[in-house]
Amino acid sequence: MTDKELLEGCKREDRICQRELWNRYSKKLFALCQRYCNNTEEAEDALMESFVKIYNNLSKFRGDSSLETWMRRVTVNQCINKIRARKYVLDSLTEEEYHLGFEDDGLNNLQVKEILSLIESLPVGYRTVFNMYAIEGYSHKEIADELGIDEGTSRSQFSKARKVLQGAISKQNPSNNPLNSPS
Amino acid sequence: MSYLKKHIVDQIHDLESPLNDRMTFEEVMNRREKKKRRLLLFWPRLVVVGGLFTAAGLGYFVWNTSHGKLHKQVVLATANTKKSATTVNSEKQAPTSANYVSPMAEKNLKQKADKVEIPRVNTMAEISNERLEESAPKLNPDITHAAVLVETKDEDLIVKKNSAMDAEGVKLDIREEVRDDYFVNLDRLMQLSHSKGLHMFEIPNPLSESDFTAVFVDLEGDEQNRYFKPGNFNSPYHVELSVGTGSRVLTNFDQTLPMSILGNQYNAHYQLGLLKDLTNGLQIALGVSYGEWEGIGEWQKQQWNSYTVRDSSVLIGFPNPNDRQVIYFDSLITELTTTRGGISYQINKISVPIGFRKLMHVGKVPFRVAMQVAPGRTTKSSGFYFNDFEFHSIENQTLTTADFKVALGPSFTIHRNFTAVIEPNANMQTFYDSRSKRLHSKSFWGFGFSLIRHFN
Repeated sequence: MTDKELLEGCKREDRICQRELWNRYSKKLFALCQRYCNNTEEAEDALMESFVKIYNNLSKFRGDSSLETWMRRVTVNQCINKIRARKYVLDSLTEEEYHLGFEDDGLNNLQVKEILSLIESLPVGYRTVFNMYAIEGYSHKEIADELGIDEGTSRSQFSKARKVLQGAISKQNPSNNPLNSPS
Repeated sequence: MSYLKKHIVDQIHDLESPLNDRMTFEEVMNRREKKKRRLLLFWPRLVVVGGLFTAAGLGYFVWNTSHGKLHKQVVLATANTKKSATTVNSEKQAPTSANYVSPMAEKNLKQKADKVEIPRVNTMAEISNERLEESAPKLNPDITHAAVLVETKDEDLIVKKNSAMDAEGVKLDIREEVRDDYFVNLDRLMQLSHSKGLHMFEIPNPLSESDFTAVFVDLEGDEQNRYFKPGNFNSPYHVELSVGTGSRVLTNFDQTLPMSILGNQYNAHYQLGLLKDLTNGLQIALGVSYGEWEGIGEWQKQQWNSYTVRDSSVLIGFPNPNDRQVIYFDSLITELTTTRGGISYQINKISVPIGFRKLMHVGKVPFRVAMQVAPGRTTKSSGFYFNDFEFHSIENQTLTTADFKVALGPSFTIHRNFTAVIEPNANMQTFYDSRSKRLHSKSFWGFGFSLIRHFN
């Protein structure tokens, strides 16, 4: 069954299609939720709520983007709502500016598993901004709007996240750290 | 340029995590059903609670006074309200944010084109002059070109490219997502009313005069609050003069929605009421109130358009000179266009508040809890009423309104016969729009002050 057929079926409230949509995307979206949420329970809740929203709003999906992209966006928004509810996370964000270049931090040389493990070790504020910017492709302005923070704060959090990641990478493998490599 | 390489990002996107037993399709469907039921039951529940509140208030009033005639009048008023709320209105539907073509644009929806920094895109040229003239004959000539476009259909509503658009030209359309936090505050207020309100509905057994005396013996020694206790005065009636305010501020547009509105909304009401002592520090209140409810803000409309641009092509030759193949390389570009404008509304109304007051102590400090419902009618309605993601005209309508308020604050004796109460409050303003046949409501947090005159 193609995504289009699945979409049409879901719009008709066809239970089989709705189940197929769940089977096809729930695991991917759960992985996404786990990257944003603090614990498994929170990720579970975010996933379920996301699917409720997806089923409720599929009829309004116009197909400007792919179905998966749209579902990812809805899920990210749901995770952000969860993060917003934990207000202290955003309270801890400050607008201290770090100026790091856009050079490769060595992250691209790692395996995906290692990258995810490093991201998971980040404090939740850094992690959220890093996930949104580096993996989901949000701009800093979009991140600022979504999280209710300044654009500068978003940049600052991303820079700090990179700094932490650089430190972690250099601990794991000193030769991977661009700051240590001979110019 | 993205921070991580594309193949890494793709790999992360394709990762899957196993689900546990709690996360099933059936569980999602159960949640969905529960949400649907909750939404369906919301308004009936509100009506039931409001009705119970009103009925209990009237019941108390009748039970404790001989105002039979007044009781009858109030009941009639309630019945009329219900009737008008269910009457089918054959008037032309009022303009809304969805189907908006309005001659009132120059008054209430002035386009702020000066905020648009990026010049409009070429697609504007495709709109014929005829359409512009037809759609904006009454517009103020001062209004910019962009404002004229607001009057046209959605597909023409392209004024500028958003400067915040991603450099790669890909902006995802997620307008399909419906925000449900619009209902959250109402829910919160409902819960508050429910938990506090039901308590107030428990009608205590009427006490005799001797019971009253016993109550005061218990409270003796608390000189400061002497004048605050029901029955310390010969007359069980008190006059209350109140002023209350509420505000609701939204400072950011929701960039994920096609229509998003921000602004300040606030209300103020002035109220004169008569209080009558019941038992156990409980009082019933009936009065008249004049209120003003205003909103001023900005709307933002976003539209995402996608089109394909041909970057290059390659001609491939084959050994057979008659065979050849052309390969085209295209890019899909998505453009976000944003339009903004000003918006405001005003609703003035007169209403009849009916409610309860409960006098109590927290430690040595006397507090008063006030709850009331105030059905009423508007004396003025103008502009475009808005919530976070839509607006519509309420110009020149007489609307049926109902306000709910819960307040809790400390009281102070300022004179032998006067008590003042400071009242932080949560209030909900509602009105029924007969043109669009919709009930609108908004919750506010506010501050108030009451002055109570006692009689000996």
